Amino acid sequence: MAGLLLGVLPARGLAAPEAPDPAAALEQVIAAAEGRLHEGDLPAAEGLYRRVLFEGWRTLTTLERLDGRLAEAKEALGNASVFSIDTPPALRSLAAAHLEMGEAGRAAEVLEELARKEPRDLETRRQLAKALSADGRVEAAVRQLDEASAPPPDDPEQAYLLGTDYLWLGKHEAAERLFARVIEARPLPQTRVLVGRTWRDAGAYGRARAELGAALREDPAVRRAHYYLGMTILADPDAGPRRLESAIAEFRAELELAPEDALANDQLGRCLLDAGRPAEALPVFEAAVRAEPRARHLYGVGRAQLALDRPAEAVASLRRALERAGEQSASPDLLQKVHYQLGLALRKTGANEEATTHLAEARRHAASSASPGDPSRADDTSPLAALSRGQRDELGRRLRASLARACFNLGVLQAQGKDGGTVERFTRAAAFFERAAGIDPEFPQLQASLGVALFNAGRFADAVPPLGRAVAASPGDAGLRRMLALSWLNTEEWSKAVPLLEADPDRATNPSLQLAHGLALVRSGRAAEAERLLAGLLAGPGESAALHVLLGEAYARQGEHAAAVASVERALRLDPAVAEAHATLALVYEEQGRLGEAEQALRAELRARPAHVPSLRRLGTLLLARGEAAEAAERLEAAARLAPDDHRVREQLGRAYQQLGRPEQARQEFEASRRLEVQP
Amino acid sequence: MRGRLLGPLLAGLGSLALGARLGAQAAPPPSSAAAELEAVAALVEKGQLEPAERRLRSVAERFRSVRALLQLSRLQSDRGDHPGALASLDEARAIAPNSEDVLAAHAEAQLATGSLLPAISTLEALTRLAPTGARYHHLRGVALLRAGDPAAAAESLLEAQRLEPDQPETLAALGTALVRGERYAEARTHLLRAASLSPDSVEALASLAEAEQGLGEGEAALDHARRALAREDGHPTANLVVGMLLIEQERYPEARDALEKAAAGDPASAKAEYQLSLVYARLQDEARSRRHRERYQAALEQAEQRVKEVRDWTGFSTGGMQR
Repeated sequence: MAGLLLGVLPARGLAAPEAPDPAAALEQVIAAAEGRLHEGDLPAAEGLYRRVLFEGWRTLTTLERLDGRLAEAKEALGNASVFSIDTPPALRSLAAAHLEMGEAGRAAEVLEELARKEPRDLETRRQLAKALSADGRVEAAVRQLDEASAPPPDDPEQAYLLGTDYLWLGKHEAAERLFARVIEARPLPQTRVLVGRTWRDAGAYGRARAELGAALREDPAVRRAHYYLGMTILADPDAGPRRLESAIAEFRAELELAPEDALANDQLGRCLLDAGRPAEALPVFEAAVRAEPRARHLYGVGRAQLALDRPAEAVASLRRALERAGEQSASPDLLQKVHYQLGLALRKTGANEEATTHLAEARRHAASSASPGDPSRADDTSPLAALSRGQRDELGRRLRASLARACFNLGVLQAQGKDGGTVERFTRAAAFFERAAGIDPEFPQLQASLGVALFNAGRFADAVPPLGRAVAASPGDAGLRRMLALSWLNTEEWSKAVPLLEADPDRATNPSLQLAHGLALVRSGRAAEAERLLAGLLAGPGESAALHVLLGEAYARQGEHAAAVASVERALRLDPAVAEAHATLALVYEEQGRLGEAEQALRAELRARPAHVPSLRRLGTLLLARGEAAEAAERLEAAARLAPDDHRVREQLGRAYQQLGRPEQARQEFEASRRLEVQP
Repeated sequence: MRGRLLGPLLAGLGSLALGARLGAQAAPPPSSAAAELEAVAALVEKGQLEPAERRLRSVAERFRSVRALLQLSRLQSDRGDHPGALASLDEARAIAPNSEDVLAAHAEAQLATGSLLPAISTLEALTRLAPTGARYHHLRGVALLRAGDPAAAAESLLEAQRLEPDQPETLAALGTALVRGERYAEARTHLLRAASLSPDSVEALASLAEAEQGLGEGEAALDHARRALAREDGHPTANLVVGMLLIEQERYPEARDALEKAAAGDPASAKAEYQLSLVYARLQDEARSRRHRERYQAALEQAEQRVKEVRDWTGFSTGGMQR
């Protein structure tokens, strides 16, 4: 409790909070994670990296909000939610972030779940009450506090905190009962000052005066009692006509006890200025500046100087105030006032142009501080608010560096970990790499790792851009080039695969690469080259059914139908189940106009491989041409389920629906086809 | 054509796929913790489990090693010390509350010890941490089903099935959850698929029988129930279905025998008790009928209480998860 009193009393508005460095804390966690990696303790490393992601994004939420970038703050909060840790402090921190962002309902959801599992956790109950109240559910908030304070806590600090919570809900009697327990547990005049100030903060001025008066009766030299009495008088609308004089007397009494007290001097100076006594105010503000050269005290000095018609001195003081405001990240409200007074002072010195600039700045800050419901101003008590803009930018940069590193390493752990190597694990790895790329696309090895993960997750079209960047950065990396070539093949960008495969150092010895090269040549309109290549391969020891099928396709595309059929038939003799043999025969028959035989060949291909999309599409198209729209639609729907991004399938399906008299479905398919066709 | 060449080429590309190094990770010398864990592995290999456990505990204490705690919990679990295993995992979770391996091991240990509600929470954390992991949704669904909340179980199992559509265990559990919620037609679709993928699954056959019985397809229900009983003659669901079908055929003594088996196999089954009260009434045995009616009421209340407990814990409502 003594800690509470000593900690809270002088802190409020008096001293700048110690500049925090959450980035250093995260860097330490990263160092710890890497230490765990060295020990082979992967689960511990994973836990630490995930902690970095939660805490880093949680802190970024506040940073972005303080700088007014609310969309970025929301995104950071979304990321923090994804990586929230299942412990009460982390979930409370997440809920606090939702509250800061004005998402009271979401905060309440997080806390309600936590309160179900930790019903005796007072801190959770208090925060839940705050969230419920902010969400407009005051009765539910009071219920939470009633449950938390039954029986009343033995710990006076907890009792005090619960009392303040009741106060904010307007439940003064409940608060009074708890404050009485606090005073009973800690019968000190300082306790009464704390309680008195709390009543003042809640607008209960009578109770505040009573408690502060009681503190002074117990100890006339107790610190802050006079100060808060002065503040109470100033805040109380019923303080009467001698309000200023009474407050001045209280602040002077406080200064008798502590002449160097910056805040008491500042408040006294303001009262004297408001009372039209600038000559008395000036030395008082100067004393505040000597104690603490803060912007608000310098602003007081400037105002007093201007009131005393000393505009040049006022300009100098207000310029210093602006400098300090920049360093201390002052509120828009103070900035507006400083710019306004500086504008007036400059105008008096004849510097009208500069004066206009400052007056315009004052209007801009006035508009900014008046934005209703703007969460960027919701929590100026955050320690990060004490940082200058430059310090916050630097902090953000370091946080992002830690986040990128943690995302990258988590991606690698997913791909290489215990169950690594499965499509699901590569999908997860890719998601981490994509997050890392969203933060720092230049992170070492990132583009290659992202490309490899996407490739292994079967997302070939998505793999192409990062693999392309990785190959550009490491043109000599044959593995990456090959993976890029295969991605092009899988996205049917045949001609782009050709040069990569031609340059592959293993092509001469790797039959799969030779087949891939032949395929790329055939499909990119270079059938003659493909024929030479494949015929050469078949002349060697590597004869295979697949090579014969591909050679058949090469013949077919050059109009050499007999050779094509012979080649495919040879393939079928070698392996009756070889892929695409019947589809290739269908190609020949289509070109010869033998549509019935083409249809039978496609049906044969589909019997062996029901999910072969090109055969489904071609059969659908043939059936459609023959007016058999119902079966065509069935085949094309199957193709669309397997390859929803194939614009040719969607186009044909649209035609089928049109023939079937289903115009709305047809329109949807045509639109999808057009959309997919123009996509890169 | 898509993917035709991928298989053979991936083998050659594997080293590249797994070759990415952790960011800025230098090649470290093996740490003393790693060396000690290697020594533990050698002890385990030789079957010297007691010294292995001692050494793991020591490594865990000195290095706060999560890996050591995980290994320790496995050894404890293997020798049947489930409370010890859970304690080790509690420690691991305190150090690394968001490690997937730790949470997965913790959930499995909680399930093994029947701590269903904590297991459900742990699995919920896992599904948040790894939302594409079908296994965690599956386990959560099964835990909810065991805890007595089939509606919540069905949601988890549907997600597991969406992620991995052809897992017979998931399909069977999903079908069972839907049957318990009297969503028989939906259940039948999933159970037929489960039975076709895994024809030996007694669970799938028995639940399929129950779904068909619910849909009034007595013949199919009897066939599937008998096939389930041919594999496991005491199976409570299959016996329940047979019993109910025999009541419809007014073969009361045979129905009684089947239902007694059902009640013995699943003492918490309100449905079995209710059917027994009916069959004894038909057999003019009022005393037994009354006794089973009372048991039915008690089972019903217990079931409702279980659902309430689960929902107080999970916040689930039939309108959706309260998250």
